[in-house]
Amino acid sequence: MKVAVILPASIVDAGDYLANARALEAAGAEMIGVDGDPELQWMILAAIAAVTSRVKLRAPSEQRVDLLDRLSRGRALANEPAHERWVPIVLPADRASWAAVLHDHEEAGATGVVVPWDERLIDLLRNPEPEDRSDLLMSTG
Amino acid sequence: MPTVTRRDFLKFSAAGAGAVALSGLGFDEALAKSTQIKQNLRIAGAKESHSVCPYCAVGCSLVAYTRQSSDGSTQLLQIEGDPDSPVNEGRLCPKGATAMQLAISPRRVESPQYRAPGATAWKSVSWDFVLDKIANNIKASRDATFVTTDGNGNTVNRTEGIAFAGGAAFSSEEGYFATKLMRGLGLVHLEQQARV
Repeated sequence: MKVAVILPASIVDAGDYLANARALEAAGAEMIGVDGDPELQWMILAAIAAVTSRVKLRAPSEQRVDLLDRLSRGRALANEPAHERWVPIVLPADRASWAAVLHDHEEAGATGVVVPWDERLIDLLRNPEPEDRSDLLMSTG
Repeated sequence: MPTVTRRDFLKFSAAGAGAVALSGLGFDEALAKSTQIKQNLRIAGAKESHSVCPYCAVGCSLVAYTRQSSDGSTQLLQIEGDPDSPVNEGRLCPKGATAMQLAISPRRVESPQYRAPGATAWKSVSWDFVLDKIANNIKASRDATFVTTDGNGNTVNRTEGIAFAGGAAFSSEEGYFATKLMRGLGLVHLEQQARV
């Protein structure tokens, strides 16, 4: 099940913001988009394109998507591909319901879910197995 | 044919044996040689420095003998166990006993080696370069794998993408310090190769 994450348009600290984008990529997010004004989205997406190498970027419109596509070396998408179906969701309250929501949408034939940014997403994407953190328990004694 | 009486035979025999004992076996010469060897001991006049074996956490004491050469360079002559140490009382394990070879081996690599991504050969680089490289890699891995809040909303602030293994030669204090440093970076995967 693929996950697309929509980052907020407001940037408090550029380092933290771009580190979050890198962390999402490392955690396994399929696509990153940005919320808010399309003009600002272009700028932020260009910055994200510079610090990532794999994750796809959701462009706000087809106009000027070529430039972002070249900046990101072919990772920009303006529209969903015809055979894909992405479902917007709100982030569930805990890990168990996150797994259940993903499972339900997968059963229904969706390609992936689109979820607004939340700090919890890094852990949910990195460690999808419900409550199985035996590695952490062992290392912390 | 000369006539040799029994008395003559004994007299000659005794004299011959005495001559062999004194000159042929060379007591005077042997004494001179042994005196010379004693004066030419490898560590004669060397400076004694006390050190600790680098191999494991037992921390056996070593005595290293060095001498200044005429050109100003320091020559390492011998490394052996320190008899005054309560840890090893002069003894060393086979590995520690070869500490001399660790120090003077011509095959010892004296600078860090670096092989850039895509490069086919190692090259010698400076310690500054390597420390910067390690710092950059730690920063990048930490940024990419830092989890502030887990899936259930608990604040965790942990770095999942780096694991740390402490060296076998760490003392208790070094182990404490390394753990403190790594916990400060948010690491949770900590191990220690404790050999004692």
